[in-house]
Amino acid sequence: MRTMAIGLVLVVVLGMVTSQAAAEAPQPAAAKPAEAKVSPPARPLPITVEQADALEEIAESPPHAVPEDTRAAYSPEADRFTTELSVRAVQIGIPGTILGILIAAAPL
Amino acid sequence: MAVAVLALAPGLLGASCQKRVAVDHFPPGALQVGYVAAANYTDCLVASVVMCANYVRGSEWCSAARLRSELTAAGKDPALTGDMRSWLAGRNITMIALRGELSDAQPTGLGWWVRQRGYPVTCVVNRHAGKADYNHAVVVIGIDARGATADAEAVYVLDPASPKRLERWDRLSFEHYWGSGGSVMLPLFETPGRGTPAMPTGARS
Repeated sequence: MRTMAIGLVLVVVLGMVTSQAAAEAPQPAAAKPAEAKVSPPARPLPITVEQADALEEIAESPPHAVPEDTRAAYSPEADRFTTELSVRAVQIGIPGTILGILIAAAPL
Repeated sequence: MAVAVLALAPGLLGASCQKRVAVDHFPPGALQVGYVAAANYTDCLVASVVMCANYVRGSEWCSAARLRSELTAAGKDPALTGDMRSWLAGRNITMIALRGELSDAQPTGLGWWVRQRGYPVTCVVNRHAGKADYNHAVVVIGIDARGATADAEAVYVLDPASPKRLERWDRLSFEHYWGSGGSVMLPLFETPGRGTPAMPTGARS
């Protein structure tokens, strides 16, 4: 009983000391807050007639000009090739998996 | 052995399936653009333009199916930027095609359009450098940077052909893919001084 009481007192005293030491310990310098991320306008800001004209002019000048026939999507040929590949992969993959399961499950 | 194969089977079978995940949470600073999926591999420009036009209009201006059918009926190629530009011009929407850069420079910087002006921008990317047949259109809706003047760390794109829909590409990857596509960007806006853009025939209001 006496031993228990001494142990309890020790635990309480140790707890107080460590908590006080933690409070007095120099705190690490607060991390510099990251600069706020830029929020774009809630709605697109209107483009004026002057801005639109200037844009058209810049878009027609050599460094920025884009040919009218620029393709921005897969060509039908690339589409056909990709589709064929994915179809072949599925055709081979599913029967192959089933065959693997059957072989593995077969009694030795 | 049997257990191992059985454990792997669902993964193997599921590898060919694509799970569509809705864009539930847009990252801070990204434009909340409604996603439109491409119906096939040749449809990404149509889907990207519809995403941008609907956002700029602030309404469901047009559907991808409608835009595609109208372009085809007009004898235009839905994958060509020139055909798309001329078709939009007739509906009071100006689409500019120019080679840009990933900066805030006015008006050729992607950051100027997205961060400063609040426009989603269609960009032409390519994962197969040197093969124009594999050009692909995506919509840039946000640029991740620590501050107003900081360089971009990453770019948020809505990819009409991606199962993930919203993707975050680090700066180097984006610059590589975009550069392989000629650094072409296609910002679009309502033609100034012309009033409300004309609705495509039969488009939803």
